Amino acid sequence: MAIHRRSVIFVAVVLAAWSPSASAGWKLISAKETAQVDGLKVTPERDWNQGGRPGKQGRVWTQDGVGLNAIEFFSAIPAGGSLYKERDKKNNPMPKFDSGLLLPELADFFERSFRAANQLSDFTIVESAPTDIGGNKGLLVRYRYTMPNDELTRLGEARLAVVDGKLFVANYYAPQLHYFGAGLPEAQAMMQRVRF
Amino acid sequence: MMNKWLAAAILAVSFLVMAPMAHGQEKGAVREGFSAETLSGKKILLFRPSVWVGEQSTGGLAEPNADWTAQAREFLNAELARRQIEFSNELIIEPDLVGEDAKLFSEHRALFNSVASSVVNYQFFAGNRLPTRKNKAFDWTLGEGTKAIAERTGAQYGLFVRTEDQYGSFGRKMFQVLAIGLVGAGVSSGKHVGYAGLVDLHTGNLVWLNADEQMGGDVRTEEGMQKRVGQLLEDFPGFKPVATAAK
Amino acid sequence: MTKRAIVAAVVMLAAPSSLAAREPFERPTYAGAYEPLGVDERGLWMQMDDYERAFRDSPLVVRDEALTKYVKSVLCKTVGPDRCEATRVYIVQDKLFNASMAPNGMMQVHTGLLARVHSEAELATVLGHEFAHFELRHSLNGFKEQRKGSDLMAWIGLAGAAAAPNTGLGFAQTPIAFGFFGFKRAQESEADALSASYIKASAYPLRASAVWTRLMEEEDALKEERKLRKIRRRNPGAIDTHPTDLQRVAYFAEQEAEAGAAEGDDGREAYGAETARVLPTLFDSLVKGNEFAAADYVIQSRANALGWDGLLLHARGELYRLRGNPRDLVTARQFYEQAIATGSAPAEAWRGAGLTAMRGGDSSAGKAALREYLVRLPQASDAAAMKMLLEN
Repeated sequence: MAIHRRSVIFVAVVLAAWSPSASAGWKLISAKETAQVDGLKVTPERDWNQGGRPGKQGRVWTQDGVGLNAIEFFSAIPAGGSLYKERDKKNNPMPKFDSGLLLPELADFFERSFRAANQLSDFTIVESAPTDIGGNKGLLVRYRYTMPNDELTRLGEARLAVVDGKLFVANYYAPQLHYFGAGLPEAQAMMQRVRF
Repeated sequence: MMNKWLAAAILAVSFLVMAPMAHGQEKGAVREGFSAETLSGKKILLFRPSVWVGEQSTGGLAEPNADWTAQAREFLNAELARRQIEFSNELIIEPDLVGEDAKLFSEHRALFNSVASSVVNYQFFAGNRLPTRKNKAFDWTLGEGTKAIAERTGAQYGLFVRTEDQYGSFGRKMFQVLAIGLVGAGVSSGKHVGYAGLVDLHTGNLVWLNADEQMGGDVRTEEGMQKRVGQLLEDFPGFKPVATAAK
Repeated sequence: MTKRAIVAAVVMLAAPSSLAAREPFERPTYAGAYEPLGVDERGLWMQMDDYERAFRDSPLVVRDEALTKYVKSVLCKTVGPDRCEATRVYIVQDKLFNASMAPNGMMQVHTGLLARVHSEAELATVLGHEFAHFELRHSLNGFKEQRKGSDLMAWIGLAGAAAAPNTGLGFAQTPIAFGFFGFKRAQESEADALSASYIKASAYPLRASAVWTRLMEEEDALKEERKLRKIRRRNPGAIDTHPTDLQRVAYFAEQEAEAGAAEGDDGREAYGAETARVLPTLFDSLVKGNEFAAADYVIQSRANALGWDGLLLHARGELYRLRGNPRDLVTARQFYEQAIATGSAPAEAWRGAGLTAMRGGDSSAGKAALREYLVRLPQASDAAAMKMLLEN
């Protein structure tokens, strides 16, 4: 039995931010064809399904459902914008992108955004290193996390770059068992070949 | 008091995503090439069931209830034990392990839950079916990590059972009424998910799944759990032919 | 109602007659190893073991043997060795102020709780509260009551749906609803009362009201930052499951005022020393979360009680740098530099100092600090990215 409880309203609001976007409207992304995802051109090896918007400037793709594998593409987030949608400004505000961030600080921004959007207590950056994303200097972030009430260890790999003061992100994540490794080569190939 | 509830109602209605509707929902599937014959004579490992019972708060947030969960777990174990004689295969129980070995089992149990949930949400539920899964064979996997479990236990198949139940709290029920009255929106109170799945541990492939997010039976009672298990194991290919009639 | 009247009312509500204040409290003889009675209880006990078996491998459990042992030792001093033997303590990574105890003796203590208390005596009141639920078997009673209650609720729900919708607003006022939630509140108050009694029978002084006062202040700080209305209720609403914080402060303040209750070593220094080692574990999810004002309050209140050290100053630097307003970067840089000056700063303090210096246009000082960071932590997860920053 717990010692303390926050008010009902707070709980109601947090839930709202958690609700998975169950909106249908999946769109087939055909293999080997270049798809225009907002400001990015992406060429997948296999067929993918394009879903809703995790953020104002973002799109999510999945093969087996977002709980098993997902890749998100965010294009041109302006200074002051958030990576993930701010569903509840008062109770779960999202970190705001600052175009003055130094390269290694993009990892800090990504971590805080991902933690807030998914309400995580367990998140660790395994590695952050310079990388190339669509011919731009960027940061590669490898991370590990668990979702609340789930014992599955999940891994992720994100690439972030700031171009003309705007943030571009590609982010792949999946359960560590089987799925992450199975999808990684294609995810990496897509992220490396992405064009602005 | 009034203001608080009104605020909660308005906030939650504006954000809530309705649960998928019951229609247009498939409930079970078998992998191509798999049948009761394939299963005959093979050992089945029964994974420790995942049981979660809680309350749905006013906003729909799930709050675990340890006591209900414990109670439901006991009913479920008792019911599975009672029905063991109906299986035509040898059934072995998940060994009690610690450390890395225990993790191998608990992580695969969690992965099964994620895979089954994906099947339900992105294949069975026609309104949300992924284009890449349209008119395709039933093809889902836990990956070859299950081989280690087969080696450890000598079982070729693994049977997973999961139930997750959220009973509408007082506030949720009140809110449900409020929502209809004030904004005419239907809001669900409660959630009753059940998955039962059989995995070929040599390949990791899911060969049989029975899954529904609107199950019957109150798992907090013995009779309710019997009904739930009956629904979960409906069409299970590994039952003795006579057993089905006994149900 | 006058303050005294509130206190009196709360005490009457809170203290069951068998535990009434005044007479010296003797811990009742402990029943010893658990003997489950009846079907419900036996089931709870056995099946919680199943849950615990799954839980102990969870990635959320903090695997720090020394810390876990220490927290358990505080529990043992609070409730006595015989009682404490029946429990297993797990530290859980979670930023909220929370702890819980399952009916089989599994206690979960959240890192957010350890970050927010400042002495063994303060920790003892919370652990004692959770243990009291266990000893009073509230879980089991709760199960029965809730099972009963939920049927009634379903019925009321139906009746309400059939009637005019607006009657919904009156539900909380029905006697059944009062009974149900009041029952839970009474359990909480009972546990508070028994917790206070454990402490009085232990070597610790009672230090509970300060914990609840700080929680209220923290909540206020966060509400002010978010421009939310501050509501400080004297009485719980009909559907609240816990007494209000104000009630708890009043109740404990009364108990603490009793002769002898506040005497004894509160174990503040020992607590500070034991937790200092694991500060990043306790504060990380607070610092990296998005409740700036709450996190800043928690950091400052720990400093007020236990003093600043390198790790705590570093945590505050991180908090400000991550919020990242221009003035925050200046403030953050000062905290990192103060952290470094203590001689007990983690290597990451040089990272923070370097980044904030560079952001502030002080490139040479920034690069020097980042170089120092890499010397101190050559295996840093972001070493490659830092090297690139240094080369440009």
